[in-house]
Amino acid sequence: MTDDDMLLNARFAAYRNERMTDVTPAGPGAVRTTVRKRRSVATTVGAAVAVAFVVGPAAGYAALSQDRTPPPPPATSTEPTPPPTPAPSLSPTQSASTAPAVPDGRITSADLLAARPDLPAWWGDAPCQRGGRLDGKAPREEGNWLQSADYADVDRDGAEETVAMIGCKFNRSVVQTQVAVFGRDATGNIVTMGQVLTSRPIGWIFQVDTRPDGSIRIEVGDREPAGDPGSAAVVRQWRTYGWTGEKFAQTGGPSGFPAKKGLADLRVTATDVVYGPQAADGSRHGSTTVTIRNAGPADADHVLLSLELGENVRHEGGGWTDCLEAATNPDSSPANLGCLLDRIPAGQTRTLVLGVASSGAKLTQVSARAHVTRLDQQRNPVPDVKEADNEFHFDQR
Amino acid sequence: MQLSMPPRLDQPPPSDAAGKVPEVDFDAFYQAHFRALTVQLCAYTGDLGHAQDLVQEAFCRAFSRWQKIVRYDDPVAWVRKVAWNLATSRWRRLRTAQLFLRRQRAEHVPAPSLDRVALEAALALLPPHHRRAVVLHHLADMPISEIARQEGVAEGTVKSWLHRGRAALATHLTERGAQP
Repeated sequence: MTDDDMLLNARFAAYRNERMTDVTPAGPGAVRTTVRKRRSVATTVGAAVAVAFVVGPAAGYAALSQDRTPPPPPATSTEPTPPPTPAPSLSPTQSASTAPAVPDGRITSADLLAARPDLPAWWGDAPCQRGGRLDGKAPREEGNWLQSADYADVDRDGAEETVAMIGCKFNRSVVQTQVAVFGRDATGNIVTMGQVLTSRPIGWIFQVDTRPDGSIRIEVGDREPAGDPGSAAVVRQWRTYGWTGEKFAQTGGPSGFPAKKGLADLRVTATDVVYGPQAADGSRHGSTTVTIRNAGPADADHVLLSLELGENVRHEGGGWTDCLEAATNPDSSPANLGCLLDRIPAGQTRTLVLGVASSGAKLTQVSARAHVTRLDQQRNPVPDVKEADNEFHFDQR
Repeated sequence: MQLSMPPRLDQPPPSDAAGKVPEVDFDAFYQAHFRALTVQLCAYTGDLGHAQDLVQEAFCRAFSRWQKIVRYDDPVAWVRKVAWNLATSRWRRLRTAQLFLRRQRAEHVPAPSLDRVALEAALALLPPHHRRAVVLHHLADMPISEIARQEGVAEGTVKSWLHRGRAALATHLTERGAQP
């Protein structure tokens, strides 16, 4: 031991002796009272809990620090510690043997459905709500719904948080999913801790599995499985995420999907449609510039472009002559304008200026979506290297 | 790759060879450890009242699952980690920040010694990692291996934090002591 060590030990010993006399324990009775109150609140208000936990963040210098270190996971220790002196319990009838765990951030599905929690941002420009009520099951047309709720002590402070998987459906059939974590503040209100993952641009989220160590495992896929002719080729992976102290980050599992041979990576973008004034027949006219790129490595024999603009928008104008076939499909789900394109070799880009017209002054939807699908020579759909950039969200007004 | 999992927070480790559950009374456990834990958190946070709140909350959480925690090899390690996690959880600080204005705690304690004031002032100048390592080692008397386990880092990292923390602390104390 160095002189500095001995000096510090002496200083800390003196500090300990002095400070020990300053401490005024609230006492084990106060512990019982607090826990009993929480239990009572949890019983009468479902999972709601009034956390009597009070932290004065401004008084101590730790609160002023820029410490971003994630709290370490609590774990049992093997450190040999002298056992506390056994003593008769002062109040055996108040034994904690039946005391439930502190509810804290454990929020039931019913409470989440009733709470209208604030949701973290959805990926891209998806027209998904960040607030409002969650449905208990997938809506028929559009809206958010709670897919699952799991529980884990993600920040390792001894109390559990709620890990929710929430879906958003829009344009009648498009689904985006996010995994978000919620807790409760000191007054029992539901607070949003953060977002773990969105299904886009990854592809798909199948399920969530919380782990005893506070980590969150999520099964992801490289594309949407249902209704996708290439669903047999969906690649599934489990990826692990954890709380870093200020956000969630991946801590384990693969970070990407394996490269696929013989596939093409189609990408699409589109500009907003700005409709002109109403014409004599009540219609309004506009256009969008659609850019489709085949990033390879395979060539695409055919590409089907679908523009989802609502039921009352039709295609018009010479721009559509670049399509082998063009169609307005108001009865499809979702309603769309289709354009079948011929071969786009790897590395090439196709730009289309496509005219559209609404049959009335009002649009049935302001959010629009473009989607491209690679077709083989028999015009059967072929999976893409990365499905997420096969779609693009834009607006019309 | 299969990652190893630390023991679950609310589940006991395998019971000892005899399969016995030690009889540890919660009240005695509280009285035996509350003050020492509070002093450690006080040295880290710089605020005695704040430290008392953190440790009290950790004991509340321990009481809620006492029948499990009491079976741990070292129940006080569980309470200590929860208290330190509460102290270092930025999110917890943020979501409870609103309560600050409601909390007006008067600290009625004897006038502090100059040495105590100097040590707390010097500790406040350390980066949080270094301060935690120094407090856990010199005040909680934890060996480097145990600190590494609690902090979830390699022992070499803790040694580095300790080395740098001690050097900075010595410098700050010397400078302060040299001031007129």
